[in-house]
Amino acid sequence: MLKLPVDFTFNQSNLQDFLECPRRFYLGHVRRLLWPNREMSSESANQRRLQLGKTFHHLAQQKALGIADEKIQRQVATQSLEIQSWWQTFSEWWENSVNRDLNGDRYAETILTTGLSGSRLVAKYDLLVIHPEGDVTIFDWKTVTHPIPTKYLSQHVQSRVYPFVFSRAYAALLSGRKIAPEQVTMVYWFTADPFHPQRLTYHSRQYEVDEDYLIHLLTDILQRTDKDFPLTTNEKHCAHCVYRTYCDRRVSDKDEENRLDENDNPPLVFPEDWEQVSEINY
Amino acid sequence: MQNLSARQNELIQLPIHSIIFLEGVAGTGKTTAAVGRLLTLIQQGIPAQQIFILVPQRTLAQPYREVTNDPDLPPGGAVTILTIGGLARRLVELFWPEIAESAGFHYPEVPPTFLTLETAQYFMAKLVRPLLEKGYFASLSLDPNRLYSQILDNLNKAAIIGIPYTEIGGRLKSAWNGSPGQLRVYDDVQECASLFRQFCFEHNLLDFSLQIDLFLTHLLPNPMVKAALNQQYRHLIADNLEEDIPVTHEFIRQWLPHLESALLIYDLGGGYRVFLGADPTSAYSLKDRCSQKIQFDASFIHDDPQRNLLEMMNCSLNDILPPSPTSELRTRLQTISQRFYPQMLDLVTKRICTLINEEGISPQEIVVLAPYLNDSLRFSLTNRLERAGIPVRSHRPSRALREEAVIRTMLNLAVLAHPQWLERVPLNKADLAASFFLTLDGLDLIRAQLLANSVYFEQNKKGKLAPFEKIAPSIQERITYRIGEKYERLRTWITEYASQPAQELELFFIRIFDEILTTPGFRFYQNERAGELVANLVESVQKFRWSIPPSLPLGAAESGLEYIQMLQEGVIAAQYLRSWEREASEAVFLAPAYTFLLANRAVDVQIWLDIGSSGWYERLFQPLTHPYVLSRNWENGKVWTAEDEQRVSQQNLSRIVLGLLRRCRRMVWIGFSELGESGFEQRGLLLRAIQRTLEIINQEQSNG
Ligand code: SF4
Repeated sequence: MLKLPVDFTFNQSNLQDFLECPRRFYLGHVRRLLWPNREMSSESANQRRLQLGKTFHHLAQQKALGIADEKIQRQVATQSLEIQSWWQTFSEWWENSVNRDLNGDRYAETILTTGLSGSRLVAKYDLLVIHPEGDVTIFDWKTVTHPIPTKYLSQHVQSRVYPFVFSRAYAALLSGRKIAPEQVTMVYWFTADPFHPQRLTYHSRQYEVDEDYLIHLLTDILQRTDKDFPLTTNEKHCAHCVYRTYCDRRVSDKDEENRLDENDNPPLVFPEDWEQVSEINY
Repeated sequence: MQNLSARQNELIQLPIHSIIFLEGVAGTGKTTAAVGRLLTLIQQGIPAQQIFILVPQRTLAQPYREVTNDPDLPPGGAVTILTIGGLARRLVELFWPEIAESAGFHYPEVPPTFLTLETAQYFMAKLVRPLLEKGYFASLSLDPNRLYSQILDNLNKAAIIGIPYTEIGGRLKSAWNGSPGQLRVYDDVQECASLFRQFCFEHNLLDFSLQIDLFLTHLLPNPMVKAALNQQYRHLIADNLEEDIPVTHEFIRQWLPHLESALLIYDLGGGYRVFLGADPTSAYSLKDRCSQKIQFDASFIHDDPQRNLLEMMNCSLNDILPPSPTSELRTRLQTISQRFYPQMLDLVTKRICTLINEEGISPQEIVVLAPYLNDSLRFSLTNRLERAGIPVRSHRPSRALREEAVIRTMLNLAVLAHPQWLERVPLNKADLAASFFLTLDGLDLIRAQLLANSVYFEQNKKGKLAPFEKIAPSIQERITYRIGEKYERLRTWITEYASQPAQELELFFIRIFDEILTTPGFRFYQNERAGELVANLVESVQKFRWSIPPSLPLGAAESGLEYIQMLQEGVIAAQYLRSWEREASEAVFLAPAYTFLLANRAVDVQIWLDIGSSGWYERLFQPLTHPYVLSRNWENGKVWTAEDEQRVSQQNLSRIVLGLLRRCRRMVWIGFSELGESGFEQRGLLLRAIQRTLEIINQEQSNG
């Protein structure tokens, strides 16, 4: 049986790591091995996007808190052109959506959690909107370079974890009010395509499928021993992995190009690593 | 949950809408009851995200974190667990656009830069160095890094007691009754503190003191902040209030009327962090604001003899007539005595072996405590215990990066790759030899020295490496061609790097690690320890660079050089946590006494070392600051006298000794050598109190 760090909880990001490469999950979340890598450098493209993503999420949280637009705008004006353009379209979209998708009680940066398979599963929501008629929209801001088609999005573990945890924990969020999965919609809002957010509707059957899937996944991980976390067989996952020199999976420039060209499994998680960062209190 | 007492259950079952002040000495089950109360709140339907848990330091949050991670807890939101510093930082970050302009920052539209203790020290050094050259602090002989940190400490103290920073010098002066030269020093302190604060406003820099200042003076009164706090949180649990700072108490005082429930917990006899600004008196004043006042008296830790020992020591420390010792007391306080220190440590090791192997006490139930745990004591004892097969962990939460050979190697390589740095960061052949030894697999120390002597030369104040083929064939042979080939790979990489425009220092470290040092044939290949160290170095460089505000731009090469110089001078200690030490928990624990006290746990056996040291009660020598004068409890204008000093020493000793005994279930062993670690005869207040107690015990035994 796996011995996890005392403060370990499952979340979409570490589950995605496990699905892409069990070894990465083991090194990063069980052993918590620090290993220098190019992604750490602020000159790396990913690190840059991570920083932009953090700034954007921060501004969005300030907006949801009710800080005056003109005050936020003054901050935005000192940021990079990318942030300025994201913010402009975000503000327009927000304006257009106030009476529709954003209509209701709003909860920014909310953490919900549930016990599952003898462990805890945590999700952090960029924005939850509880609409007057009782339906709920989960918003997730995505700052990846390209929008991701719905058929790929629905396969990402985040699209399973978020509505599932929400459906379970909702009652506790709002003093006992219950919700049916049919009332939950997850919306991915992309800075790269701001006026076409991707909507995933949820339903009871999907909830059951997700529950089954997540129970199996967590049980599978927890029942492993330290030796049962093999290196991924899909070496494309190594291209941006922090452990690639540790695992001796050095990737040539050409491989990197291939990886970007194929774009067959678009990364959803790493630029939003923000979630990981801000889940830590203190 | 473990079995709870009736008093604990009573507290847990109090109506939800209660404002409770819970007090009691250590070991009476206050935190356990608070954890029980937290669970009850959640089980009774209070949304977890409405619960706020406030602790003075992260380690004290552990019991709450464990329970909130329990898989059996119902689904819901997340409890917030923060220190006051964490809360202040979070609020400043979020509400910066609301407060920056009115607080007086020069660039209110630009996000602030949060400073760590180290980066604050870096900016303080930048400001104070030119003044030192002009003769400021001339009467003091003090390591400059200590000087910078004490000025920062003064700013922190002013912020946490809520006085204007402009009053620091005046307060220190008015309490001084020594030589008049010191008054000038306090003027210098004030001038430097004011300069630093001004600099922070000019460049949007936020050290801890300014964050706390903003929290108290701009965030708490702001209606939007108030509304956000009141909407999000309805229930408060604040533990170890006696270890927290007056600003925390002020915050709670203002917040209480808006909360549905609160549980404020106060450890009687605590207050160990006074030197960090903790204020038990201000904490206790919150009691009046609570409608329910509860005291826990029964210890879960002590049996009768242990209680008796505590009373005896209390009497010895305070010159009170002691009670009669019980017959068992002799086994509860015992000595391990030798004339010389090393022999005493041998006996301590033997005793620990007996306790574990013969008396069945588990290693994690034993702690070895001293007022300070220096490297030599840690090394001597760890070594002895490891040789005896006893698992041991030492309190060394952090260590300066530059003490590590791996890091010195990385710095040397950086200097080689930036030859123009040599003028300001010297490199000698012995250091270089150590770096070759540490990186080139298969190279021994003697040949490493030979290689360094043969290839390194300085030209026009620049350090250079000669190609392997240029050295004498006989030496090439001695070094071997296999090593020569590895050396050439390293040299070529460095030469190529040096011929390009400089990159950020962190990228240099990452690249050389990635492209050379972790490839087969080099010693960092799959070397986890080296990996962790270099990752910490990269992070430290990044933090340093990110602390440079946009208003003070520095190029890649300059910021890299600045970092290396600061690291070598110790301005930036780059403390890091060694993960390979984080893990072993089932082990004998070596720690400074204060660290153990603040870990909030009890053990079966304590072994006290260095009992002749005045470090048990005397405050550190800090000529630029004063924890008791810069306190809310000090009457402004009053003079600090030798009697005051003696009084607080006595108080500190009682507090620490009784605190330790309250956290000890079965026995205390005193490791005593007639000659201390440095070879001098031992004396001191603690030694005297222990001798007095032992005399009474022995006398009673012989009478009986
Ligand atoms: S480098 Fe590849 S194999 Fe190694 S942990 Fe990363 S993804 Fe897995």
